Amino acid sequence: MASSNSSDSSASAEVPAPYGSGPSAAAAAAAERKPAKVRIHHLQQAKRDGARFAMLTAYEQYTAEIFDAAGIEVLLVGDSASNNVFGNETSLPVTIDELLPLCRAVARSAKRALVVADLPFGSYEVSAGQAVEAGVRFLKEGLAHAVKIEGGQYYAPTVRAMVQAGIPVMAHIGFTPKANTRWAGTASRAGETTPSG
Amino acid sequence: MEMVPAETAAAVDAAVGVPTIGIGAGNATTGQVLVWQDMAGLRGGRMAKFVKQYADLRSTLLDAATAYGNDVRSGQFPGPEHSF
Repeated sequence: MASSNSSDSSASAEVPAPYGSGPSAAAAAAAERKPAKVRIHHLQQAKRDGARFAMLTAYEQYTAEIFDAAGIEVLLVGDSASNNVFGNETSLPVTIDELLPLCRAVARSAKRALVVADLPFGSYEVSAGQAVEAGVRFLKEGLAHAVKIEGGQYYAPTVRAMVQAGIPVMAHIGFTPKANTRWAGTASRAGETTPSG
Repeated sequence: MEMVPAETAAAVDAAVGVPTIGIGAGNATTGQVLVWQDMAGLRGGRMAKFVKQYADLRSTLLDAATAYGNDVRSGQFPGPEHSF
């Protein structure tokens, strides 16, 4: 830290340092450049503290930058890109290869937020191995920090395999848009037995 | 948790050690999520009950694009300040 008591006049506030206005400003600038990243343990801490955090979808550079600057803790590169970016009616048609470039753009643009990517319909249901391979692609090629899959208890072994492979997984339960066809609509099924199992 | 009754979502959140995120799942989850085009009013059409719209970007962009088109057709854009 710069000290105003320093006998070295070059370090005083009146004389600008040759490479900027002193260590304090440099540290502040560094903090501005590299804000503390939100990572999974921060979300776990939020739960322990009774704190809340916000998540928004993001599919490209500018919204990722803006939401990151606004302090949104988690950005979701959702398969909702299917019906919010690609012009489809539902989330079903979107593919891994379509989502990966969006995910990479968001991850490159977010300095602080945790980036979570949806595994799209058809990319994880066949087997735990398929899910691991899809998850690896989103972490390696999409630069995501975690992935999300839809489904309940049936997918517990899949989630276990992914986590063991080093892929953080978020589970999407309740109404699951990929099961829209089976559920025959988007009305709440409160009180009914979930077909997700 | 998506479109889960608030009471059920609260029970799930209390039962698990991991943080939970809700959309249409009440106020007891650790986090909340919305699709940004819904949150910011970019998408048109009917909004789900769980959406709170914080801006009207669709109107803002429609107005901007309409004004730009009108300026081009009327010769107002580009002006001298936009020319080399």
